[in-house]
Amino acid sequence: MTDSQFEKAVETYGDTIFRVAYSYLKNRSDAEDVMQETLLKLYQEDGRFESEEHRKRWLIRVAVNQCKSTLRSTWLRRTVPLEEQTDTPVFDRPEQSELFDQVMALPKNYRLVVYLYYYEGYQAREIAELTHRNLSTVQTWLMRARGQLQRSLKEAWSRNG
Amino acid sequence: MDRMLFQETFSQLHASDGAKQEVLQMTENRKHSRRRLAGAARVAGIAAAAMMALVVTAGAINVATDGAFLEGFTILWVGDKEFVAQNEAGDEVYMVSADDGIDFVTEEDGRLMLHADREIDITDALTENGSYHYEYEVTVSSEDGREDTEVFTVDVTGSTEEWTATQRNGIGVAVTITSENGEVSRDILVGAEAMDAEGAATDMESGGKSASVVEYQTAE
Repeated sequence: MTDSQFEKAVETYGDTIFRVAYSYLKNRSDAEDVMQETLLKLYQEDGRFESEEHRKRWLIRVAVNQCKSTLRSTWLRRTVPLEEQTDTPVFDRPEQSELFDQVMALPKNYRLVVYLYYYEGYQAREIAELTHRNLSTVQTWLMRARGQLQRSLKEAWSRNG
Repeated sequence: MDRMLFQETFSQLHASDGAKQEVLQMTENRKHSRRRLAGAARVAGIAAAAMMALVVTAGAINVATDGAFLEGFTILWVGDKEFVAQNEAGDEVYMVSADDGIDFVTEEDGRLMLHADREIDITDALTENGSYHYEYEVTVSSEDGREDTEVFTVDVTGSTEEWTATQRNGIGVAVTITSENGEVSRDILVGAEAMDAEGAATDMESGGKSASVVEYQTAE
């Protein structure tokens, strides 16, 4: 892969990988580490992809594997409770902030499938392949995540008027 | 769930520019290796067999250094975790391995990859046959300037979850990598036993350096 190709890939996919990692790890520093490790693996791959979508899916799979390695690492900085994080983005509207908080309050597997479904637009079958999970597992997680989000968001929005 | 709201929200989550710049810089750094005269490191009396105490292939160098910079180089001298390579123009490169070992078989993104004179995805072959065999040639230069072409063989057996890979260089050194229950271990065999499929390790003295079985675990 040439330098300019790699630079373009960083620009195109850097945030995607970061968001996947952040949704899993809930931690900016770890998510950026995963982004860097994943992109470095891409750099070594030397272009064996059939299409951009193929490349993107490969990156997401690698990022998910990296996230799991990060969690297993003995140097892990364990998940910081949401209220202690100082690196959450500042949102334009309160409903965005509320949605982000409620998604981040989900268990990590739910957060990831929800992100891949609602943001990246992947179907359950594709998410199962990307995350090395059974289709039925992904479907169950999505269903439970939706249920939890609907309840928590309804509560939050009615609280805020 | 409002998909548009979800997308508006999460599109505001970005990696820092600093982190992206850093990874571009990392790829720049990987292209450069330490260059120095081998000098005192090129100690007379290190025999060819001792040089191969740590088996390093041209393919492994390319993998370790991320590629093109070391194309056309041949291995000149090999130490514990370091080696010197030289090209036809006489440029020398001194490399230090950042890892505990240089793996000729690695697991990447659920696939099993063999790093030899080229990268080969052996996942399907191993899944289907339970084994994989590959041979390739490596040019090795001795301290006395002699060049030999050695045939390296790689044999992988097992499954993609638990496998054993052995690389032999034909002159008495075999490196075995075993992956079991997610843990990877390595052994280096030196001597006549390394020529066989299995055997005990022997100690070998040559030019003041000795080579023996080395067993170590990855940091993971």
